This record gives sequence, structure tokens and C-alpha cells, in this order.
Amino acid sequence: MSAFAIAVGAGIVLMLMGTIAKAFALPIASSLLRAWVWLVTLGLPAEVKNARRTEIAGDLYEHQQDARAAGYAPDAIGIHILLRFLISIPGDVTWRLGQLGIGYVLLPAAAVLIAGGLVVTYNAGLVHAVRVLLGVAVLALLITVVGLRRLLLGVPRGAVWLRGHASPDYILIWATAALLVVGLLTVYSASFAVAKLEYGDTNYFIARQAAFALVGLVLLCLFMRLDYHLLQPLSIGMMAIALVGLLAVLLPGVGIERDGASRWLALGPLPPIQPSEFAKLAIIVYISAWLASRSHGDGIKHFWAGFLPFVLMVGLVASLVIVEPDMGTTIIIVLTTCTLFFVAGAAYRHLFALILGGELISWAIIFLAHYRLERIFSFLEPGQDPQGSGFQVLQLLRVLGSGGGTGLGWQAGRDYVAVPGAHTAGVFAVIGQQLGFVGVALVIALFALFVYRGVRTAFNAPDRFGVYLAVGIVGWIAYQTLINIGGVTRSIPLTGVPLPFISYGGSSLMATLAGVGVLLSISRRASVAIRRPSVSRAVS
Amino acid sequence: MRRKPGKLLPIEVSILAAGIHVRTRGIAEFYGFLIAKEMKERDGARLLTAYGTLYKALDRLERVGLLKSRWEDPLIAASENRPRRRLYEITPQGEGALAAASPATAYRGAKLITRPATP
Repeated sequence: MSAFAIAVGAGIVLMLMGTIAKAFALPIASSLLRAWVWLVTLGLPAEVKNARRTEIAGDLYEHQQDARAAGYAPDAIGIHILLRFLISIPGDVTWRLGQLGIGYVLLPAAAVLIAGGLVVTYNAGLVHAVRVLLGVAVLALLITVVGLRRLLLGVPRGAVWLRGHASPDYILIWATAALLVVGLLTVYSASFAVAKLEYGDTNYFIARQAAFALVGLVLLCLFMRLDYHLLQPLSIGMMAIALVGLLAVLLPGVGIERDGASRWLALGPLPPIQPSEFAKLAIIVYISAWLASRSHGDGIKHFWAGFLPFVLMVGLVASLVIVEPDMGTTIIIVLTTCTLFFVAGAAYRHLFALILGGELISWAIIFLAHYRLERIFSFLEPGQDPQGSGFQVLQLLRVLGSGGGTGLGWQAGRDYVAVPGAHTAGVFAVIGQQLGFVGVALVIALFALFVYRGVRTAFNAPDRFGVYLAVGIVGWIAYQTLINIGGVTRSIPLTGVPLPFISYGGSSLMATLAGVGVLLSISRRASVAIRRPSVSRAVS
Repeated sequence: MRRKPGKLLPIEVSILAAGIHVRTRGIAEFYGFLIAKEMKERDGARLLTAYGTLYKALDRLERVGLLKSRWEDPLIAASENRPRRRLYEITPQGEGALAAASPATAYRGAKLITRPATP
């Protein structure tokens, strides 16, 4: 039970740190900004240096005076300054490079990062290098989520007038496409041996995955074309269908049982589908619509009107998924919806209750099922039973670690018949073996780009429903990525969740791509102010 | 990131348009925070333009001659007990560039500019 005590303690420490950070947000943000400006102007000609430093100091001063006069609390001003500062970092770096005469070159920065990662890879191993990248990603995600909440609470956000439809975010589309391509290539090289062995056809998995990707892309285009506001009235229907699907899976005869879990639904001649994957999207839409209907955010802080309905809705879906049983999907659903609840302005006492309650329930669930307890043990001590419960973890670590700096080359890895989940949940290890640190860093960079553009979409969404929907979809994909890669690198216990866009699995791929479609639809309605529209619209 | 010399970025159009608008209120010269606040309100944005973006754009506009700037009299700043402001003013070339990029705004601005800039 010491792990439980540590977890509770960590929760309390985090809350304390949050309170301290809030109290000192303004001085911290101001000092950070000053230090940063000092740093980026260091070594420039005195004239340029002093001009920039004085201008920023003036801005900082005027901003505080102005915001205080307008009645903003110091911590709100601090967060605003911090966000303005964080957003400006890439621009400042390119400005500084321009001042030096190097020009707008981000490649050196990327090269430094890659070189650092390679040093870690060669000294401590690829697994450690990936863990470091994961840590950076988790930190960035935390800052973003907290920033979103502050921003939404600070600004009363009714429906903003839509000034025409912009085009979707093409960078988001390209990131998705690149991840899909990496996924198809990796699934092929990870699965052809198993496919030959089990089905006598090396193309068995890749052909199905390609077909799922095509259907997913059709869904993506449909949702991208659809005005996402239509999802608000449809949300109850979507939720109802998802619940029916989740219930049907549990019925013997209708649901298909595989490896001790009833997750699939037979659809005649079609491949079976996994309703829980689509339920993720449904509950994100549903909770977003529900939160948006509480327009001023006050109802959410209320116990009977906010907390209880939320817990009941999420609890219902989560309990249907957990009895399948599917712990990984349950965790993602709970994490994503709680993020939405937090961003929408839930009371801290309710969030604390959620964390504590969630913790107790998850430990109870883990202790009730023997195999889950085994997974925890295999996470802590995989060497105890290397041929049994620790087998998968050890195999994945071995495969991932063998990649080294630049990998063995595509398809150069040995066949993956002996590696459980090589083309599904463990696909990241195969990428590591074949493409090494460079490839793994590129894949993580693609996910980071995707999440960045998604968060940008959330920031720029014209109304609360759009913000929640975007946060939900991005959160879902980000958490699933972190949980998957965390499991493969033994940073957290291994759960069977697929790596978005990449792992083999039709339902997951189609649901994810449909979610991306919704995200793109929101990006088309982004408020004109922050996007880069045609020049005439920016000033009209 | 090479750009055509004559082409304005949206942020630059935004700065010029906000600058013209500020001038119609009788403020001939603006400083960084003022224009950031003006742009935020005009565009209905949630955040003030990031530091890097804003001051880089102001810098470029000055270098191509669409803005000119001077440093405020240190005595004024000292008497108001605050840091010195760098005051920017839109040049005739700046007005011309805005008119080329966005005729509607420039026309609206031009009508109002005919009023005396300072009371």
C-alpha cells in the first residue's frame, strides 16, 4: 500500500504547488519575461539591446497598470503575461537569429535537440532518451491545460460573430497524413511475419489497415465539411448509440470475446468493430455540449448541478468499458473528460474529490482482478517472471532499445512473431528498432506538432462548445499517445491502448480520424483575429 | 521565410489599421502596449499579441519606412514614474501601404484623418 500513500502524498504536494504558483504567478511571470529578454538581447549592439529591453519593460509596466485598473487579479495578469511570453519564444528565437544574420533557421535548434537525444541514446539507451522526451511533453501539456482554464475563466465567451469560413488548418492535415504514412509502413513491417504465420498472407493486416484508413479518411472529410455546431443537438443521440454499443458488447452471442475481453461487436461479413473507441468521441461531444450549455460556468462549480451529473455521466460510460474489461480506454475516457471539466472551470474541491475517488476506485479495480495486479508487478519487477507476466514488457524494451541512434533500418528488424503486440499496442518499439532515436524523435515531433496545432485550434475556437470539443479531441489523442509510449518504455504500467494513427486497429483508426475531422471543422471557424486569414478580412 | 518586399503580413496590416484608428481618437503617436491593447479589442482576441511578434513587426515596419519612432522625453516618463515609451507614428508611406493592402480601412481612416490630429 505504500504506492497508494505515495500517490496521495503526490496529489497533496501538487495541490500545494498549484496554490503557491497561483500566489506568485505575477512575479514569476514578470521575472521570467525579464530574464528571457535579457538573454535574447545579450551580446547585441547596445542600441538594439537597450531599445528592446526598455520597450518590453515598458509594456510589462503598462500592462500591469492597465489590467489592475480594469480589475484583474494579479494571478490572472501573471498568467496572461506568461502565455504572451511563451507564445513569443519561437518568434524571439528567430528574431535573434535574424539579428545575428543567420536568418530564419529553426534547423539548428532541431539539430541541437537531436544531438542531445543521440548523446542520451548512446550513453543511457534509447529507452531513456524517449522517457526524457515524454517528460518534456507531459510538462508542456500541463502548462497548456492550466493556461486554457485561466483564459476561459478570464474572458466571458459568448458566441462570437463568425466572419465567413476559413480553410481548415493544413498543418494539422499534413501532420495527420505523415503519422498515417509512418503507421502504415510500420504496421506492414511489424505484421507481415505474423500475418503469414496465422493467415498465410503477408498482406493480411496491412490490407485491412489500409482499408480502415480509407474509411477513416472519408469520415474525416465528412466531419470536416460538417459545421461542428450540428454536433451539439446530435450529442444525445451519439451518446445513446455509444451506450447501446457498449451494452451490446457485453451480451453473449452479440459481442465477440477474444483473449478474455468482450470488446468487439460482430457486424455480419464486415470486420468486427470496437464500440469503446467510438464511445470516446461520443462522450467528448456529449460532455462538451453539456458544459457549453452551462454558459456562464457557474453551474459547473455547483455540487448538484455540476459535479454530480458529471460524475454520473462519466461513471456510467467508464463502468461499461471497465467491465469489458478495458482499463486503458477507461483511463483515457476519465482523463479526457476530467480535463474538460477542469478547463471549463470546475471547483478545486470537486477536482480533489475526483482525484482521490478515482485513485481509490482504480486501486480497488486493480486489486479485484488478478491479471491487473500482475501487470503492476510486471511493471515494477518485469524480471521476476520473464517468461510469464513480464514477457511482453521485456520484449518491447529489448526491441525498442536495440534501435540505438539511427535504427537497424526499415524492415531490417528480425520478424516480430515473438513480440506480443508488435503491430498493435507495441508498435512504437518497432519504430524504435527500425528507425532509432532519429525516427522516434521525428514521430514524437509529429505528435507534438499535431497537439500544438490542435491546442491552437482550441484557443481560436469561436465559442465554448468549439473550445471544449477541440480540447477533448486533442486531450484524447495526446493522453493516448503518452499512455502508449509510456507503457512501451516502462515509464508507466503497460495497458493495451493503441498508438493513435499508427497502431493496427480499425475502430481506433476510424474513430481517431473522425475526431480529427471534427477538429478540422473547428479550425475552419477559428476566430479571424488570431488566424492568418487573407489580408482584407483581418482589418474589416 | 523570404517574403515579397511590398507585401504586408496580417499582423502588420493589423498594426497599421489600429494605428490609424488610434489617431482618429487624437493620439498621433502610439507605444507598444497601447497598440497591442487596441488590436486585441478590435480583433476580439483573447490574448495581447505576443511580445516577440509585436515588437518584431514594429521593428520591421520602421525599417521599411511605414512607421517612424522616437523615444519619449525622459522627463515626462520620470514625472509619471514609469519606464520611457518608444513612440511610433505612421508615415505617409505607411498610410499608402495600408490603402493598398486594405482599401476599405484606409478610406475609413482617411476620412477621419482630415480632422485635426491633436485637440
